[in-house]
Amino acid sequence: MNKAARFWLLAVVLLALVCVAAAAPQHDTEQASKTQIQAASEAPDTTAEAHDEHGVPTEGAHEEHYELPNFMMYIHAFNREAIDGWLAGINANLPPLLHIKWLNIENLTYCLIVIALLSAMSISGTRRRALRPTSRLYIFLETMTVSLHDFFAQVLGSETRKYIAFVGTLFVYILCLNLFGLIPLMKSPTSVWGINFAMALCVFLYVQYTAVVRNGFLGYIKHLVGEPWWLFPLMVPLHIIEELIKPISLSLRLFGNILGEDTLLAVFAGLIVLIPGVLNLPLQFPFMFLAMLFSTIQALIFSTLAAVYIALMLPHEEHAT
Amino acid sequence: MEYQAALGLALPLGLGAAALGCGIGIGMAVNGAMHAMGRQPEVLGKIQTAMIIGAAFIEALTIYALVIAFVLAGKIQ
Repeated sequence: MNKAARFWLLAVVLLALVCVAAAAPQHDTEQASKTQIQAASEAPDTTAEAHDEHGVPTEGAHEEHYELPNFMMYIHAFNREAIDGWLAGINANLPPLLHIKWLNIENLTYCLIVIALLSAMSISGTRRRALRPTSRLYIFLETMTVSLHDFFAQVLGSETRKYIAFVGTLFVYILCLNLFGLIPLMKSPTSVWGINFAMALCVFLYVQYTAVVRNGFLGYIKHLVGEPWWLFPLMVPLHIIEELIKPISLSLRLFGNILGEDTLLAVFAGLIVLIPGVLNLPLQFPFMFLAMLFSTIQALIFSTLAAVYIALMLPHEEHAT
Repeated sequence: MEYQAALGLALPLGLGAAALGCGIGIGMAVNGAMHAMGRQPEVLGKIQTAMIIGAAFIEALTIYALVIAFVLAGKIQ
């Protein structure tokens, strides 16, 4: 097979996959995405009765928004009493701030699935390293690493080799988490603030650690004080606030984008029932391309901003931040 | 006016206002970046990176409005 034929075959297969992804969840979403999380987590055949039973959803602790169905919802819906009893038993021994909800377990499960997939890929890909590699997976991983290195070299300059492991992993991980929501019966864990805040907290701690290690503790203090030293009563609180704002804005940006995009998909999937007739058009289909674009850009922005924050703390940079 | 009605009116309007401002901001940023890229194609990569980072900072403001809208939309029942 020549190159062009192979490319078109790949393109057709990808397009078919996207079509399947766009069309597959529509049966469940007809009922499910019209209701809130709590009601949507019922099995599709029991949705109507269960919603009447519960009446007004009084469990107002959840944020109520539209969501496509995922498989953890169904696990919860089929074993509702057992799981709720189990969670209540655990929560009885915990302080109120640490209460575990099913939503947390759901998101962590998807995170762990992504982590397992990525780890399996990297471990099996780099098992046989060679100067002239024969494994295609290894070539793919190497190409990805090199292109990420070239990209982050625009920000980090000559220090890229030291920090590419952190920011590159962030990029790949967030990209996979974002794109995971486009697979039927899966969900983007990044549409929850906690997961993003954990990653942003990692960035924050790593940046502070880098600053102290690379500048020394006095250099770090000097960075906090700023250029004209007699302005320190103004500049020190400003710099501290700036450092503390960084992880919050970093995580909120990713969270808002992914939540907005998933909500858009779910809302348009819910609109399918408005079209009369037997033909159920996948109305959310054009927005899946938008979702793919936004997923990539947000992953890029998160990791690039992490790289920028690291680069701002490196000693040879001569600028007043 | 009941607070639900007030929220229902204000949330889309506020989100629209935030999107309007950020649209103007991103438009100006991309305009400048495009001019610079057209004049100096040899530093295209650097300008693109800086533009994307700047656009992310501007866009974050709309996202804050969106997050607030998501939080408050739960109160309209």
